[in-house]
Amino acid sequence: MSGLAIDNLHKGFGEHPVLSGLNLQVPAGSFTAILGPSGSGKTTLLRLLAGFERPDRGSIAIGQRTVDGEGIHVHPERRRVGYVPQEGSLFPHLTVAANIGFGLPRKARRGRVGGLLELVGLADLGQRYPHQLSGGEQQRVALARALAVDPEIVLLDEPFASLDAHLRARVREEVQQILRRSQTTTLLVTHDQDEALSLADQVAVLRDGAIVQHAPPQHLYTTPIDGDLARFIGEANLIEGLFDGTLVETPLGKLPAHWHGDPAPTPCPVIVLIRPEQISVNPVDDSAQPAGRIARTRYHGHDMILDIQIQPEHQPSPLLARTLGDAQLVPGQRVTLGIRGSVLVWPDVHAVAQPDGTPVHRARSSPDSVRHRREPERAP
Amino acid sequence: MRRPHEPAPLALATPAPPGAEVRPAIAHVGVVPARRPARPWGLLALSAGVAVVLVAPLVFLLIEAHGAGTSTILHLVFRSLTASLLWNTVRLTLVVTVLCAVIGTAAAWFVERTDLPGRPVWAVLVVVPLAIPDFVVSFGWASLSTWVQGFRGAVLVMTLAVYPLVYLPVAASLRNADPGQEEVARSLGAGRLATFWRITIGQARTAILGGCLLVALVLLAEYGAFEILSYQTFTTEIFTEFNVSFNIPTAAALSLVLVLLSFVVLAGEGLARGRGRVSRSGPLAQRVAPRRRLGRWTPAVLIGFTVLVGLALGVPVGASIYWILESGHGYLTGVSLLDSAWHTALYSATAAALATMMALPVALLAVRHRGRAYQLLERSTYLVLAIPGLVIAFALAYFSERYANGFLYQSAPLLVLAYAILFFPLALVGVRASLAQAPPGLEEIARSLGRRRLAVLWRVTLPLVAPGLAAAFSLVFLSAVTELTATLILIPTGVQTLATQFWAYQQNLAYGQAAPFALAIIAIAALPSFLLGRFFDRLPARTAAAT
Repeated sequence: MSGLAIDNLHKGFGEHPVLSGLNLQVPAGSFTAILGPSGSGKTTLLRLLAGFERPDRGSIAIGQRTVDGEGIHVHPERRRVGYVPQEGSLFPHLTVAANIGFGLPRKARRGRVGGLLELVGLADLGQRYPHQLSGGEQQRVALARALAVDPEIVLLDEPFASLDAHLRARVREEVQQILRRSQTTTLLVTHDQDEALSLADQVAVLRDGAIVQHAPPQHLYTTPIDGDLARFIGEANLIEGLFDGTLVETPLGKLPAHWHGDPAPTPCPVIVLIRPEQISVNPVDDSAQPAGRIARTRYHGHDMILDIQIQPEHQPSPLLARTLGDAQLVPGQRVTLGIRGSVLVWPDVHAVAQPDGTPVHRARSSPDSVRHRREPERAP
Repeated sequence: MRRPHEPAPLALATPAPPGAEVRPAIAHVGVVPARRPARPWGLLALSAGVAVVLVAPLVFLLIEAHGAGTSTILHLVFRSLTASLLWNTVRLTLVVTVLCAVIGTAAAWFVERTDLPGRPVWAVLVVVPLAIPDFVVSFGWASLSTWVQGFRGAVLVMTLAVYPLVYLPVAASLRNADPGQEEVARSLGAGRLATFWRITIGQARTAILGGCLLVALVLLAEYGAFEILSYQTFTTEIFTEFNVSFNIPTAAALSLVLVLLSFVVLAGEGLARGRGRVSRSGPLAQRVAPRRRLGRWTPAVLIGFTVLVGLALGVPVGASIYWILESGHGYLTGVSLLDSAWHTALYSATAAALATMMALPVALLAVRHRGRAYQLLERSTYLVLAIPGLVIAFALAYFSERYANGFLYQSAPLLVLAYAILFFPLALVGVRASLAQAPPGLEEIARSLGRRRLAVLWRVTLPLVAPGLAAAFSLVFLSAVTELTATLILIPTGVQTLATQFWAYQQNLAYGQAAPFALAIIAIAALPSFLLGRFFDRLPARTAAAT
């Protein structure tokens, strides 16, 4: 059964298109995160789902019911959508209990509100007013208020962004557990990849008004569809290589590689994704040829990010490597590098053929050209 | 659910009439152009109705002037009387406005930014003169000394009567201004005085200008105080022409000039305000500006405040009490006092409720729905500011007499309507400020929780703006209680309000009998003044400054 089905959704404001042909299927009872940079149309999508805006084109079905489509627009009050905005937006003139009971018929309030207060762990605070609650408590009340009407789907609009860092992790956890217990289909909108990956069963990435990839968190992290996406959901080294079907030749040597999608013609110029934690860094001993030099270290406590300069002629920008925080590594040190596991490769669409027929990478003036290039979109 | 203005599906089968939108035909193909946001038709209709009512007096005035004939009007306008009235009105307006700006701003700064002893008490005492009608202040002074007359008397009396109009917005603005800006200015090398001029006054500029605007408009519209002081302005002359000589063309011609003057004031304020925005970075800081130590200046400032309050509050109240004691026996005005107090309260409360109800749709439209047309509609209601109460009363009275066969003329509904029109901008300010502070997200959430529009209005919007509605009500009530000019013209036959009864006794020089009515007006007006003080205290600067 589908919890949410969005088909070819278009929405623009004036001349400016925000969503252009967005498709998304969300299974009932799942926790899905919509991940996108600011300005990608995340909030517009939620407002369309809640019925605060009308789509220009396309359809939305929540549960078994089409709520937006050809000649159909169900008003917000009839959608049974639980909307939890960024600031919680509790009604300041109502107590916590009255906030939670707002959407309930008078008779149902008494019994249901108590249960919901318990569900969100605020059983004693029913008679408080919103300004007497902490930020985390306010978020939980907002959630209980949304759940009170027994919604088909709960929409969370960056609900943790306004919380302090130390509070955020705890509230996230609590909210996730409450929603799992209530088994409600949940859509979380966020620009924080860490939040999306750690909370959701499924992550859909929103870019340029459409979903570019929709996959479980682990799959998304290990197999993003292109370099931009790889960088967006974590730190990534993107280097050039030549792929022969099983191995890819790179400035770091021949690495085992995998390819996602249609079989590749070989040999094939490719972009190689190496996550920083795939690189092991060892101080050089005399016998081995050093692979590079540490240009910079960034210490984060639990781990450390190293900028490693390798063969400048092939790879002008430094590689990022992640090591444990206790590693005894300092800038200037010479190191050897090892690559753990298989690396992901995509065809390098900007490669051109040389006169002899061997395809090579197009000369690039700046290493940033990798970062700013858009790969063709492919279905997940 | 379909929205009312969406074409019904049935209509798709029939060819669209020429000029009709072609959207339905395209919709079949599946290429729907971007939909406009739903138009709030109900609100729009209500607001437009309100705007029509508000602009009506101006239209009536133009009709009257037209009826009198252009050459007659021009002849009446361009004569020496107009010049002398213009000179009297303009010089008084300029002098009093400047004095009020200085006194109001200084008082606000001392109360809000220094360690002046007894600040909470001064904060109340300085505002109370707002509850004393200008004609009572005038009466208090003129009855005690013949020196208070003409230009100097008018300057003294009007300054003391209306400086709180500058004090209130400036105090609110100073209280809510970001103290960080002053600190940054000091750390950038600006001295105390430079910081005061460039930052403190800069932050309060919008509020000062807004206050001055109100002062100038009040001065243009004032009748009673000047009549007592024998100071001739446009308003006193119009009143005489209309109510005493029944010279309608002259009254209309002079009214046109007066309205024009008000527009000049309004436009001047708009220009002076400029494009500058007073804003603070980040959310409203909880931090309060540190208070300046007065040190050895404390006694001088205290004396200044004592003198100000003594002159503005002590003299009128003292004079009233003096005249009651002086007359000794008292004329046993008890019954007529109660009766006129009842009528005052009745008319004022009804007008306050009406004005507040009229303001709600206009404010909702302007705050909740973005669009040039809506803003224009809201702006048009501010036109009323430029029409003195006398002119509104005169236009309504003349129109009902001439074109409606005297229907409603000198009836309670017409008086209440005149009050509601006259004080509508005040109601709008209160409602709008509250509404702007209530986050619109709350209404959307209420709808997604299954509540219909009207239920949301009732259960969310109205409770949120309740303080604003109360403020709007108080403001209009207070103004109506202290209103004299329009009341004199439109008062139902055989009925007296506190103001008209006071005026009748005062005209007969029966000071002892007039005084209890003055005190009763002050007593009734004091409560709303107090409530208003509380409301403006809580309002952030940017909304308060919008007055």
